[in-house]
Amino acid sequence: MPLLLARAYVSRGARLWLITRALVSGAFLYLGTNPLRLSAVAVVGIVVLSVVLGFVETYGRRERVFLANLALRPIFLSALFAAPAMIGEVALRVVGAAL
Amino acid sequence: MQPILAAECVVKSFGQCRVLTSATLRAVPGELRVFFGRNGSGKSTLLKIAAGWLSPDSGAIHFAGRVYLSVRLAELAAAGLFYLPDHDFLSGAFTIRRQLEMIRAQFDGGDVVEAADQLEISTHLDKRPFELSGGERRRAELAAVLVRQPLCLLADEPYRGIAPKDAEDLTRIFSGFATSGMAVVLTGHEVPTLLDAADHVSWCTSGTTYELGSPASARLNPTFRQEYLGEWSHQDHMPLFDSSRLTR
Repeated sequence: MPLLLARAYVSRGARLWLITRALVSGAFLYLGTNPLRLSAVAVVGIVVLSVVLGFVETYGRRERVFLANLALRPIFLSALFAAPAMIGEVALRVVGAAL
Repeated sequence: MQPILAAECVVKSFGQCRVLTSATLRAVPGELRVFFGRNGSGKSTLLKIAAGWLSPDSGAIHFAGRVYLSVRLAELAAAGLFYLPDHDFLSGAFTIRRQLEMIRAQFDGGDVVEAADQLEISTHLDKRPFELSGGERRRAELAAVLVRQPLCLLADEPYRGIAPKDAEDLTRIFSGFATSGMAVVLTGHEVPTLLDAADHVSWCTSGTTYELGSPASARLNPTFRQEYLGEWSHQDHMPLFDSSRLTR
């Protein structure tokens, strides 16, 4: 997969993860839970939500045909959206454990 | 010459509504084929099925020597198909240059700047598609085709929203693609322009397709004339605009 394509969609995934994480963290803070020490289920949920939002944005921008013409299958797109979310969650977990 | 792409005996229904009963689409290298049909006749549905964008209820897709009962566009695109849908193809999220570069990098395609020069969009390369007019967007999409250099191009209503002069320019570009050996299939309602450029005419009506042959044969087909061409067929080569009828 070309770097240019991967970079474009990984940065979109990163932006969506940041928004999702900020909203979810806000909700957990409101409920009195430390957002840096979430359960594995919650973390997986955030990653899945980031991927779903990535697809929603891609559908909304009508990029599906463009990506299919690039021979890019949805599974690869999922990986591009999931990668920054997973890296971010691991980083937050490390930070949470250190604090 | 053998078709590189053939969608054979395609049947498709949406709920209770049967759109295609037995339709066929063929794309032959070096030929510009045109699909005519009234709105709602199933042209776009057939093109989507041939491109792997929509699954048929039954029928088979043959592409580049392989037969598929169910196939995705991504798979056909990897094998050399390019599909232009009946809506804007390029994303508003990235510049034209970036999107053309993505295509070039993915397929080791042609030069982006050269393609832009050829389609006269060099000055728009660093703009996003929504900053361009309809005609310029169509040219940018065709620049994507030039960069991709596919074996087969399916373009659904590529003339939508553009001026007649731009339509003529686009037709010349499509003809150029066919001359270079690409298999090109278009749909549209721009009868005079398309009939002048086409190598082969197909007609989609009542859920099925008819191969009318050359544009000359198509013009002589009485049912096609009566049911699709209508008044236009009686006014061959009549100028669309007669300046002598203007009054001051």
